[in-house]
Amino acid sequence: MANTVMKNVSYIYNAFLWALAIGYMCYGMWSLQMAFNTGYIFYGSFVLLAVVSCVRGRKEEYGIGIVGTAASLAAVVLMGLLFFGPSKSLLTAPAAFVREGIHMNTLPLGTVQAMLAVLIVAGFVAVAIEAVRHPRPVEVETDPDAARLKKTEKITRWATFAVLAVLIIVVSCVPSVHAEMTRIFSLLSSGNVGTVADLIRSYGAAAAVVSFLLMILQSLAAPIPAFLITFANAGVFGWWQGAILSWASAMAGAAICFWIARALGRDAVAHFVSNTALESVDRFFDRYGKNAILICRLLPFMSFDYVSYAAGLTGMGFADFMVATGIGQLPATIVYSYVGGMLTGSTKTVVMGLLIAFALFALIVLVRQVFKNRHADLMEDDGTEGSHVETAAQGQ
Amino acid sequence: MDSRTLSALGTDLTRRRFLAGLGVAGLAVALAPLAACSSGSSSSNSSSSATQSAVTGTADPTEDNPIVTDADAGEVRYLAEVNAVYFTQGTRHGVVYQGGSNGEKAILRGLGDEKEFYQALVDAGFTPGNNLTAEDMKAAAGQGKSVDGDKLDVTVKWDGQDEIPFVNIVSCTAGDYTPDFRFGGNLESAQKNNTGCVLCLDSCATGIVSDAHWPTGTTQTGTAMFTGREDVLPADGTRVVVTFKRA
Repeated sequence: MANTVMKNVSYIYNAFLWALAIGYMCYGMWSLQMAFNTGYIFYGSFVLLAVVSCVRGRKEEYGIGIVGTAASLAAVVLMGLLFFGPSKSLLTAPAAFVREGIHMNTLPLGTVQAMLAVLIVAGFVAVAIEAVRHPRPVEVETDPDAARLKKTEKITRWATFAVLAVLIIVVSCVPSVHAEMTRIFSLLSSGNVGTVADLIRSYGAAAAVVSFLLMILQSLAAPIPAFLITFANAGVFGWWQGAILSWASAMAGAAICFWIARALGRDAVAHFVSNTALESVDRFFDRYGKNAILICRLLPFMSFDYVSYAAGLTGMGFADFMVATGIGQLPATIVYSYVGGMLTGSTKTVVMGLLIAFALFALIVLVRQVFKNRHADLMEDDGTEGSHVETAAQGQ
Repeated sequence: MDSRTLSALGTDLTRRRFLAGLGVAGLAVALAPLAACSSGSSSSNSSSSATQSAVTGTADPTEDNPIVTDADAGEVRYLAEVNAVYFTQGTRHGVVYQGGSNGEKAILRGLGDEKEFYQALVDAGFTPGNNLTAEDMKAAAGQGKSVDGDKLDVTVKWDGQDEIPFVNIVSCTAGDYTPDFRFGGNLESAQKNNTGCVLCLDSCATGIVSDAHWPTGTTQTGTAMFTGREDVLPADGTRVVVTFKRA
């Protein structure tokens, strides 16, 4: 059916847009751009996403509609703005990684840009025409509670998307904000505690607020270790005041990451992963999520931002996540705040070693708990089977 | 025809066949870079052999002879083409051979193998510095080392433009750009890593030529970043000749 072809066209077109967004992100990371052919990532992502979308969507009657496709397109533009701002690079970057990925160096950049523009416009027009010709019927939810929940989820999702979009546009397009953010990022990227402390101090009375926002910023996007800000906070505000500030701001950052993933990512993940797989991951996080988060938070080399995003994608409860995060980050926050700035050489190794040992101990407890639970399930099954046998015997 | 059959393309097409076709197309796209990669290396081989066949003279380099050594004048001329991507993006690569892993990361995409280029500089009478190691490249800001080797004067020309100093085609984020190009050497590293680096814009343990003014780690630490000057350089893909002579 033509409808099936157009459904797959919508999947492939959206996969192309998502791959473009991924390409923007990878190409925008300078060290990655310099070290690797990011075009491979673009083409790899495109093929993978297209195949998974088409396979997963084979039982669906409709493809991705005009709203979903517009959101994908908006995500591409926002990703481009986030990494390149409203500059010429916004147009040259995708052409560069698309050309580099297939080693078509002789193709003029302008030609590749034009080809991409035609593909983007033609794909969007095709999806739009299909949406008009075969509109998806409106699903009417008969249960009022379920209808209210669905509506709330929808509002939350779009509100999160809108807030992020506005933030990205402001940071990328308002010159004064962009300049200040570039300065802050370059100072944070220096990896120097003194530089970060000076940055926080430079805001005078608003230093605590700025530190709080910096911690949230690093939680959201910046590939900068949180302990850098924790060290700096201890230096600027004193160790225990700094510890409280670092702990509270890290909690706020973790909560925001969790909710962004929950609002925007859960549906996307559900699209690519089978319901059974998603349910089993949810079950795991239901049972052991708190311990897993606790262990991840204890490991000093683990980027907790990714863990927060990942937890948001699962069915884990927010309260459980926050409790585990709060407890898990206490030891490192206190240690970093109290002695962090003074830690050097072998002392640093010893403290890191202690934290890792602590985390490993917690991991062993978790594995033991998982084993015990599985064993209990087996025992329960055996017992049930045994009782069936007994009942059968009695029947005979 | 059942509901699983597609007829939009004029023939009956089952969903399974469509997905199989999609898979094949996907594989083709995924394998295209590899095929292109191998063709790239074969072209690099052909250009290398072409370079070996005619490496001396006073004429300008051509696609068949992308590196020309004039031993009497003590200069090497190297053919490259403009990569407009780096008019707007920051980079640390001035000239990189297109067959190397960094072939698309430079302001000028080189057409001659960097190992041949090394030999051409030696043949022209230059002495390499060979003083940097991979470890030096991890230097923190302000702690990097500068490349040694014979000092080089680097110029660029193209159709309609007489030779201009290389400094004129590059802008630097850290203010005035005053390069000090040296024949760093690094043949062993170039052979090992195959990055294709001909001329790096800060001191480098792999680039055949690099800039002693900026120590190692300059771009990695964000101290300075370089872009090609769109107002000076010609359009994307234009062939240019880069000349290296004793400063």
